[in-house]
Amino acid sequence: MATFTINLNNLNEFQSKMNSNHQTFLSIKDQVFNKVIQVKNIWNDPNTPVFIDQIKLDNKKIEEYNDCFKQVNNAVLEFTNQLINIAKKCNFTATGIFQYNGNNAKNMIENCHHASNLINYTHDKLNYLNIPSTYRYTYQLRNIKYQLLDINNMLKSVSNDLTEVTTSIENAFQKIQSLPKIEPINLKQMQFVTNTVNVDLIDSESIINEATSSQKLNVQNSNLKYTEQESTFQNNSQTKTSKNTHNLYEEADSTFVNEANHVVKSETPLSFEYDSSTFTNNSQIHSATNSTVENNLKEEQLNLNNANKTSVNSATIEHTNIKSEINNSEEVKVSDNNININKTGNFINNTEAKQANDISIEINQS
Amino acid sequence: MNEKIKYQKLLTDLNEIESNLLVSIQNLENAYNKAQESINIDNNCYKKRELEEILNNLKEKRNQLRNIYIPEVRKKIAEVK
Repeated sequence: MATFTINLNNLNEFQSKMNSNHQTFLSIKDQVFNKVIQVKNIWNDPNTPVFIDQIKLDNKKIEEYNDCFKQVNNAVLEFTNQLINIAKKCNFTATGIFQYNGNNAKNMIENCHHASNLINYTHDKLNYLNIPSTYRYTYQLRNIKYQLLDINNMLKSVSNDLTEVTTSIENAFQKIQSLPKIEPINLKQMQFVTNTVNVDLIDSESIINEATSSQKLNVQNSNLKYTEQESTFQNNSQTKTSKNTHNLYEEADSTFVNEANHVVKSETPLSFEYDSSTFTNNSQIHSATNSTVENNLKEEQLNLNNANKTSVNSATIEHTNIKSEINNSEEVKVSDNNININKTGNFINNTEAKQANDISIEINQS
Repeated sequence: MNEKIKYQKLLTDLNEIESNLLVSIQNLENAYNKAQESINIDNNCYKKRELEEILNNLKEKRNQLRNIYIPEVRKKIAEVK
């Protein structure tokens, strides 16, 4: 049975804010279709097929997120409405502190049932009383039977209401507890080779902010706390650069997409230098510093995943002065961060989002 | 069945009824006391007022039995030969 204390004011506020955030999120989602049109209009661009696939993939992720969010939203809405309706039944406005103890409510109901059964039995007993004709209160005794019937009907009504309300609260509460985990949205930046305009599928930052904001809930003064998900849906599209001298890693706004396209535009076999470049995924870094790589970008797809593996588990590990030849397919395993170089020379930087934290509902359950 | 026996049987029945009502009252008092910590909105408890009304009605009926109707039966038993 559930036990919680919640501030209805905060719950109301949260629910409406979450709903509002979701509406905003949906409007951002619609931008996907505009981007599809935009991409299809540039068929000659070598990156177009990649982008089309990318759009499909990202759109699927957004849909999955949206489905998940709808479940969360509906569950919280149902829970909120239950509490508000009960508060209104008490002839109060839907504000203030709402305390619920499932075990006590269950105990109340059981006591009511027991009392009701006894009153019912008493009523039957009165029905078959053999009252001597000389008894002074015959009429009153007969009358008690009907009065007990009325009392029992009132009690049954109270008991039924209590059962209904308790069941509703418990069900709504269980739904919140069994909510699906909201998976992170991994979005990739894209840029046309022949177009300087960045055709990011959607405004990644906006959608991530909305997704994050959607999950923010902290119902104060209560045991029901939806903790703020600060790192949820974080977009790791930013790459990090390492400085040769100090091995100091700093965040930068540049992306591999931009670098890659810049390189490919020359459309010549080129000497691709990993100078100062670092592929990073969170704390995992592979740095091919000062190495020169002969790169046959136009002829074959080079996948960095398919050969020797180097696992780098710490940001402090130096990986310097290694001559890395992509033709030799050195692979750098940086967790799930795949770095692909395809025919068009498009670098796809996996913008791995951090694991979405569960919505944490700290509620005592017994 | 003579009248005395009838009254004695009535007394037994009324005592049982009174006893059942007492247990019912105790059950409802338990429920009433639990109401405070079951569903509570700003210290206003769901169904507590209704339970209080039921309790008062039930207590009234039990008191009538205990203070008026049962003593009258006892009185009749003593009177009837």
